[in-house]
Amino acid sequence: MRTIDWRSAIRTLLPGLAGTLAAGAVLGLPFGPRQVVHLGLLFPAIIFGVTLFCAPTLCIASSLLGNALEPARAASALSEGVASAGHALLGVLPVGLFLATTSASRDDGFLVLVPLVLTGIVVGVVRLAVALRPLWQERPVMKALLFGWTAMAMAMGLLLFGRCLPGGAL
Amino acid sequence: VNVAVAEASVPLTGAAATAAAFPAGAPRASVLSSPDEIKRRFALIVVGAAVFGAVLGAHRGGVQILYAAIKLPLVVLLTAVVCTPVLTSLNRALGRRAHLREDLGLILASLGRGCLVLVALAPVQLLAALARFDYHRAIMLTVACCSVAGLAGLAVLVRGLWQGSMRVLVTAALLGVFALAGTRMTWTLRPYLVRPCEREVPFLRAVDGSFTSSVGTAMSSAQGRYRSETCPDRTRGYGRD
Repeated sequence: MRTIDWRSAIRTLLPGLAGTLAAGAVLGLPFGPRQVVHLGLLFPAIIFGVTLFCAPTLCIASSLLGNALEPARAASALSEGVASAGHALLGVLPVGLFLATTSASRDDGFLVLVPLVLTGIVVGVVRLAVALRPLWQERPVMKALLFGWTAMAMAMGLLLFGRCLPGGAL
Repeated sequence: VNVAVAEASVPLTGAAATAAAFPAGAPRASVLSSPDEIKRRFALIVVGAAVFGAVLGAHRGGVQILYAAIKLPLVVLLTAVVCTPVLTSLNRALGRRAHLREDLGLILASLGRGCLVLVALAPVQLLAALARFDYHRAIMLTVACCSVAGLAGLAVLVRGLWQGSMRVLVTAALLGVFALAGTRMTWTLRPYLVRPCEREVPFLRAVDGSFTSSVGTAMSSAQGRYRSETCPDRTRGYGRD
């Protein structure tokens, strides 16, 4: 059984934290300065919270399906996914800032940012799938498990984020 | 008309020769990212977009020729500025080869080819301006020219991205971001043609509406169906102004 190297995990997660924080702040821009802070803190909390909350499900379900995923390996794959999402979100930051500041209305500004942020999250999910390739490559049922888990986590994050938006914008 | 455009295109010949040689093979990152090549493509974009911008401004004439010649290169270069970090970060996030200068080289190569096509289409625009094309038809013609140029540039970009792992995701994501940023940049730095009913020629307009809604309105107006009240006298074209 592998052990978790916390120092390297934290170093890996830093871009994830920076990227999600910046993405949350940009998503809050159309709603005013208070929401920049609010969503800036909320968005990383949701990403990290949902990932942590759903991680055991992945380990337990894979074990029940006969192809156990070690917690250390799951943690490494998930942190790699979150870090990749963070990198991608940092990259779309200039475009996001530009789009947010040149939108005619609040809703326009927010709606145009959503696909950018989703792009970052999809990048993270793809990186997670690549990191877990040995797990699902030979057994289609594991592929279905990963797909279902991702859909569940993304839906949960989306619903949580939607409820926290000012005036239920989502 | 052709002589005027040919004269304006003289500084492009060096860059044009490079770009003409380019489509034959897949772009090589090392070639595209050399400082000389980046400078050459930068110059190609500035001159090419300025020529097309000046021709767009010729629909209105006067100071608008200068304004549009300044703004169009800005649109292209600022789009490159905001899109290059996206490509680098996507490459890095997906474990591909990530290098800011190489990515900038590829994006400038793509935009440079687009600008070269714009120069080639400049006579068409100039002819429309001389023939006093209707304002809305002039917009539609401009959208068509830019679409052709965009597709030509796209081919270079896709060829450059279509290598290594995760190429579908990177290409799709970058094209999406490019479309979003490019259309918004164009919209933010408008006007290029200027409505015939406007007496003053503004360098920039206030932030309102969107690019897509504007194209929809222009299509309706080109068919004689006027929806907006932006011009109370409903002047229909430069020729009737």
